[in-house]
Amino acid sequence: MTSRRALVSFGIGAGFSTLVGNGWANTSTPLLAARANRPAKKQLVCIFMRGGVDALNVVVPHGADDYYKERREIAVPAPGKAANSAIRLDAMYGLNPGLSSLLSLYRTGQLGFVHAVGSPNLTRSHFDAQDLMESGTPLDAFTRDGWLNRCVASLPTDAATSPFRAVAVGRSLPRALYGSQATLAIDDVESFGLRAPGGVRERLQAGFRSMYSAGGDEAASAGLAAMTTVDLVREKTAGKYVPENGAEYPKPGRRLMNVARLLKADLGVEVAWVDAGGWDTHANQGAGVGQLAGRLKDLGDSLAAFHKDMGKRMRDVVVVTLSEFGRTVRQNGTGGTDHGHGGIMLLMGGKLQGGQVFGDWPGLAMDQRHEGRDLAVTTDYRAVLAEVLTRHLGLPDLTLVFPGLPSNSALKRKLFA
Amino acid sequence: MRFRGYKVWALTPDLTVASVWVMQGRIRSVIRALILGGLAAASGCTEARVHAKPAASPKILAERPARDLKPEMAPVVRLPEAEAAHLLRRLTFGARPGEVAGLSKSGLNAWLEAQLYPERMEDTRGKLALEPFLDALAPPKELLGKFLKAEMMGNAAEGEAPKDEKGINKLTDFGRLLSFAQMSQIVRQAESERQLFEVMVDFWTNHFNVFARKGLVKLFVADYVERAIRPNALGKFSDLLLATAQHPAMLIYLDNAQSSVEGSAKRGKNKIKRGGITENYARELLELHTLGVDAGYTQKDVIEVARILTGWSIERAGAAGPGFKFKSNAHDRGEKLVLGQVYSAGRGVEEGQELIQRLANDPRTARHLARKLCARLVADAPPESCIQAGSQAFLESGGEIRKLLRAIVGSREFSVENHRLGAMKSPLEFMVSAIRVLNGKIEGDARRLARMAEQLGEPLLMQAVPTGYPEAAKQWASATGALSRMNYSIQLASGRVPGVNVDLERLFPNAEPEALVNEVNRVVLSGAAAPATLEAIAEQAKQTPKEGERRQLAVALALGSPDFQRQ
Repeated sequence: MTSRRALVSFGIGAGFSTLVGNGWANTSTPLLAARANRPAKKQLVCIFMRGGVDALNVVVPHGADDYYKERREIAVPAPGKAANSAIRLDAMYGLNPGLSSLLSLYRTGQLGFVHAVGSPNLTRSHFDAQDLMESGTPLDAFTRDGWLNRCVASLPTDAATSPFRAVAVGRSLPRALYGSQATLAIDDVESFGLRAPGGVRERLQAGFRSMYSAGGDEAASAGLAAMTTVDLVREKTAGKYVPENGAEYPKPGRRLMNVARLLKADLGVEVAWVDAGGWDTHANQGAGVGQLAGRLKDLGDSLAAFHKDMGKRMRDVVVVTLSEFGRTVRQNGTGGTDHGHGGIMLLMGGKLQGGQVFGDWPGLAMDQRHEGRDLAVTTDYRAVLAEVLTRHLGLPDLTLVFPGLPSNSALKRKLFA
Repeated sequence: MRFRGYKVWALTPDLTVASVWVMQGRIRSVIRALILGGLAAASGCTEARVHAKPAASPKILAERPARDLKPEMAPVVRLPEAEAAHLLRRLTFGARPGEVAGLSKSGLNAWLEAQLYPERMEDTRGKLALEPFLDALAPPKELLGKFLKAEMMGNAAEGEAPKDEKGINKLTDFGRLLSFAQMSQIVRQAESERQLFEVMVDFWTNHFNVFARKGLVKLFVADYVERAIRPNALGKFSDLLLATAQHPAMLIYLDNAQSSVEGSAKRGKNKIKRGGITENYARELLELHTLGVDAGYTQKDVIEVARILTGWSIERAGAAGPGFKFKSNAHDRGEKLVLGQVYSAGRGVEEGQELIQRLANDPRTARHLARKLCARLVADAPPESCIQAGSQAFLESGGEIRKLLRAIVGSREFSVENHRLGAMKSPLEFMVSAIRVLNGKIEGDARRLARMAEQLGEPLLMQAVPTGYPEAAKQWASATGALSRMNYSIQLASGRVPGVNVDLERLFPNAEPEALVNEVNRVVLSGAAAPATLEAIAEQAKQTPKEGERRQLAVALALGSPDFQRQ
């Protein structure tokens, strides 16, 4: 009984991991000063599109007749066929016009997609599908920690590790970051810290700093780590954030801007996570304009701003999106789509050989679909992540991160140069 | 090995014993005090809870006629204040001003016996605070009407009940419903006099964790706590186990509602699918709810348990209202073998009930539960003797949760000094205890508190994994968590938590720095703060000229101090 869960370590808390005992809490800025002289570490940003994004309306298979037959009202028109039609990528695929700001990145090879990607688990429940995708063991419901935390645990590290190695930008930690490694949730860099009017805040800070200065048991070490973290974020991100290279984030891109700020701040961030909701489009999802196109525009504009803002640093950064599943091929009675199976992932940055849509196309004919209704899965999402983790982050060993990933699941076309 | 403390508590009235006394025309509470006091005096103990000497079997004592007990032999058994403070930190959500002194004066037994029978306590304050959130506690079939989305108010035609999850989602304001459900727990933890009961409700809710955001669990989760957990939180464990096993919230959360005999026909949306078992609930039933992870059962046992529970499902929302339903044609009627026990072929729902009874009374379950409860009440790594005392009392009583509690609280290790302040409060314990030590009053819509619990890391009814929230300090201690606790401390002390009224001026009339620090130490930190903490508060208090601001600052620093995180 124990062996299944013994694959992984269980220090999950409610999404909090401890800083205690990793030796970091008692060190301060000298560590970070030392880091500045070393080559920049590779960084990974995961965006989880919660709700199950409709892959077929993100990268549109305009070459497939069945797509237009099954989606009379919500199909994105083939390139050039109408207003708000798909932007041609190749003879088969087109981009939802909501993502137009990503087109130049696609054309220059810095961005790509994996189509018909997903989990080997067939559940259509949001909760189960997200849970299993984030645990990284889609066929084992009994794993307590998350793949990204296990990844951080498996990455080579310095003697003193930064508490910023794994950061979620948001109010709470995602399931994927549960585990033994120290993690942080930072909702907003600018307001990170004690919340009180100026003078009082200084006195509160001085008081807490003083009473926690000695460290000690778990409670005391956690407080010390909190004060040190606050000081470091203050020091490394002083002042108002001004995105570089004239990048302008749309309002929904605030969290991605915070990611950029943290990645740049020399805090030792190696992986960052952001949730993006609003993809569960059961009704009135629209086509080239409308609900889904609007959400895609927010995402596309945010990603484009992030890319611009990060500038040359994008060589060391890969952004990858996940979503728990795709949606039905046929539109439903309310102008939307229901929970399906095969989905889509977006990749950006690093040494990506982008400008292409990876993954085998399964076709949309009735017998090519999953259970006669959904886009089939031809690529395991773990295979994509596995390549990102090994080739980009330099993860030496995948066995702890994705136990049970079949060895024949490797991608046919290499994602990275 | 039997201790006197155990014997004493075995004597105190549960309902059967009580009825004997009532027939003899005595007032039970008086008699109880007499018995306890009498025994303590007779054995020459200074405290009723000293229990080193082996004593006669509780049964013999219980049969002794009540007239043997002499009123004049009932001394008041005082507890040292430090010990009373410890007891209240572990057995309540925090001591309100005056409660430590009160317990010290009354002694543990009177307090414990009153707390063990919460339904007999007046609880005006608790009931009052609950009122704004009562809608969430209505039976599930009435919830849809009470939590209609505002935009649906006009056009929800009468008598047109939604047929499926999609329809229900469209109509229902689940955000409001869930925050009400969370608040219905929080206000009672903060305001009710029935503190030990609330602690146990929290313990069992966590033990039998469900996740409100999985499918339609959200529709059942308040009902689950209200009608499966609460009525059984201090009763018989087998009743509690069965109530959770048959509740729609659990049946949906761990998928048993869909579990059916291999190969059965199951009508899906578009076609008929082949059914099959799901092991999810069966596994957690053995591993988390009863026997414990290393209890020696096998994968085969899990499958056999799942087979026994096939057909344990739910009624669709309809005339009778959603509830447990045994679906006979989904049930596997073959023979099963669980933990060496044969369940003969051809039976129905009763074999599951039998299984639940067996699991509830298994010695491994007794140990698993005693260990877990000791980890909550005694220490993260609880002493073996405590676990044994609890486990034995549980087994001997046929799974009485009250007996389990009495044995643990009465065990000698419960309040030994090195456990004092040796555990860390969970975020919820921290949040609620801060309100209680300040005698904070929750009035009206304090829904911000539900959000606070989330920001602190322990949103109620929202733990996705079936293990529930952890107990051990090392799993709660984090930089993010500590910072959230400090910020909550600041907000509460400065009156910025809507719906929670804290009157610092009344609590600390003297705002002179030195007096203030002393009082804050006494009221908030059980008078036990570390010198470094007090110095830090004093230093900053001196630099704060305005009295009101000084009070707020001192209290915020005390609540956010390492000392207040401990229990």
